[in-house]
Amino acid sequence: MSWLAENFYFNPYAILPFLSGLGSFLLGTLTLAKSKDKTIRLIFFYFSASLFLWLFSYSLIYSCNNYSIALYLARFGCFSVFCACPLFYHFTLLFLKKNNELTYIKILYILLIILLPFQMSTSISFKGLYNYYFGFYGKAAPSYLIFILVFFILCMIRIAQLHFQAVQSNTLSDEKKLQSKYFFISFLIAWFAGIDFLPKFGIEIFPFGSIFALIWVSFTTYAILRHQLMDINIVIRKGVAYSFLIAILTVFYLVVVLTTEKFFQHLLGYQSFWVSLVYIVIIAITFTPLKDKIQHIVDRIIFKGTHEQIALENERLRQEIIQAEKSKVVSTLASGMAHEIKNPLTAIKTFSEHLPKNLENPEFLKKFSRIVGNEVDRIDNLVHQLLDFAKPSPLSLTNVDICALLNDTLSFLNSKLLQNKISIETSFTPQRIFIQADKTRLRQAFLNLLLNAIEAMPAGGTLNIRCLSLDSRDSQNMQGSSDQSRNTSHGNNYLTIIIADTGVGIAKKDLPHIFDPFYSNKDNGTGLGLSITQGIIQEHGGTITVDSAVGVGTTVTIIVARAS
Amino acid sequence: MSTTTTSKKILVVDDEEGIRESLKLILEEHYPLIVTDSAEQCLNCLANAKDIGLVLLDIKMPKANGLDILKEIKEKRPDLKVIIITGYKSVETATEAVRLGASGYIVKPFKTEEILTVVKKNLG
Repeated sequence: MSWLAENFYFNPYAILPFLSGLGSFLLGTLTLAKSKDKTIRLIFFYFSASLFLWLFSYSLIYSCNNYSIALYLARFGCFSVFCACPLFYHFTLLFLKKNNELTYIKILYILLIILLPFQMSTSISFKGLYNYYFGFYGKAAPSYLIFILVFFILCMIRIAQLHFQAVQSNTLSDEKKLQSKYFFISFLIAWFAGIDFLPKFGIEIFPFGSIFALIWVSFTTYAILRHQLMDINIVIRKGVAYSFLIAILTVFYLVVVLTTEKFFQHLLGYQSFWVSLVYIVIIAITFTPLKDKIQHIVDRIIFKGTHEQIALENERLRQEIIQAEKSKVVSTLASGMAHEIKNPLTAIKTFSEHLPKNLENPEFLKKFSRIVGNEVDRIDNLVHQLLDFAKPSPLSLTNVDICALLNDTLSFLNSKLLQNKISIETSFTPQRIFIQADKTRLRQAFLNLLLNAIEAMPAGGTLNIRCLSLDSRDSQNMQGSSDQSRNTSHGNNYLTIIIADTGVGIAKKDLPHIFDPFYSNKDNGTGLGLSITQGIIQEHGGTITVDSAVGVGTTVTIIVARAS
Repeated sequence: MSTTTTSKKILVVDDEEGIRESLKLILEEHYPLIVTDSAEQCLNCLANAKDIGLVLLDIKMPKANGLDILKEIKEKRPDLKVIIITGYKSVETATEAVRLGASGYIVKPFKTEEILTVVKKNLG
């Protein structure tokens, strides 16, 4: 202990590099703690650890009054910087996924291991020490320039690649480009850490580059841990705000320490290393919680805004989502339409092109009549469906006896039911149930659903139709496993219509899309039937849901309010 | 009917009758054809008939994605040339089709000359 007291003293200039180094190490540890199994985070941890060793060595150098020990520490600190360089390079290689260059990293690491004994025992990097006002500092040997050159060239290459990736790449996702942007900016900031090289060449300025090293590590940690959640501009603004406040906090600590140090010196009559050490420990313990508190206050006061601003921002975002959804629907409609119309147009075009040279060919003319006629009908049908879908006619509401309408629709499909050998089971309530509805459109909806059921049973099966009157409790109990949301705010009088078949069923992957326009797995479907049916039911204030299992069958459940 | 010098057949795969009849109208005069209306039939034909030299494949069919069928064709017959037919031209689909091994890309509605040129280029 007396050895420590003999060779070291408290130097306030040592606080800054010590705190910066500790901060770097803690951030690197935090990154590793979040996910140990990612190599990139491990390399980042090692990089942060090398920064810590560099900065901690320099904090000890400033506090050292023994030339030999200080020189040894300077060489060790310098070696830590040498390690930081390939670790930084390795980190960017992993980030940029340039796995083919990883071999060069191994060479760099091997060179480091070879360099270590020479670095510690010879003047290959430092030929001595300067004695500045803030403490000892390494005096660069001529060969040190080689290191600086290599360091800056490597950094420039990496920074250029990150810039390209962030700004110009057309193949990367937005997330990856944003992450590249973070790293690019943080590494640009890191350039200022290079100011620490200047005192090594006799320029007597305090090497405050350690602050930029800490900012660099902070940005990079944030990019690794939280980049998905925040915009780069917010991070930069936050980073600047935090750094500014933390710098003030650091200065505050310095002032407190210097003042009380002077006080104790006056009181005790000598400078005590142990008093200084206690201060360092207190600062180290209190710094991080205080920094977090400041961060919290900055988040709450500067960046979150008032409640009104948050509400307005939320509403703006909600409108953006609605617009985006609308655009998505329009885009789906357009591409679906393009496909549905282009097919009949192709046939009409081709047959028309060949008509002049086949005027005397009865077989061709027969085919022409059939094909072209069918395709024109198809286009016509599609236009009608689109009009129905896009701008349905106003409802003509009357009191409609639902069970009677279902029976009528079934009668209409009698021949198809017989053809497919489908047996019918119906279960209607004994009393007549009326709803306020447009009879024609409701019939269209039932027709769509019954036709779907029949087509799902080409080799026979059972079609079960039930019509139940429910109160609100029963309706809530009917919640099924499908994704569509139910409107349970119908009051106390519901009518539930269930159409169940024992057909081929719908695959699980298709279920979420069955109401999407132009989504169809049928050979001759436009993909609008269920979209239109859903639209009709919703126009009547009802809900429609579908449950299905492949090989078992499909159950469609419609809930509408009864007429009062 | 003019005879063709190639013995290789063209396999047409499209679920739409209008498209199948259109391609038959354009090509049957010049090339022997096999016409199918589903992915399943297409793969069966490829397994049984070894003298197919070119496939004209619709990209959008009800029960199968044309690109998936293309991938399967290329896995079974890497040497076989496949031309994709689509009604909706997009850079992404074209890129994906070429990446999966398609030799060409035709957009509907197509011209007779366009079909004949593409087929001649890929089949001879």
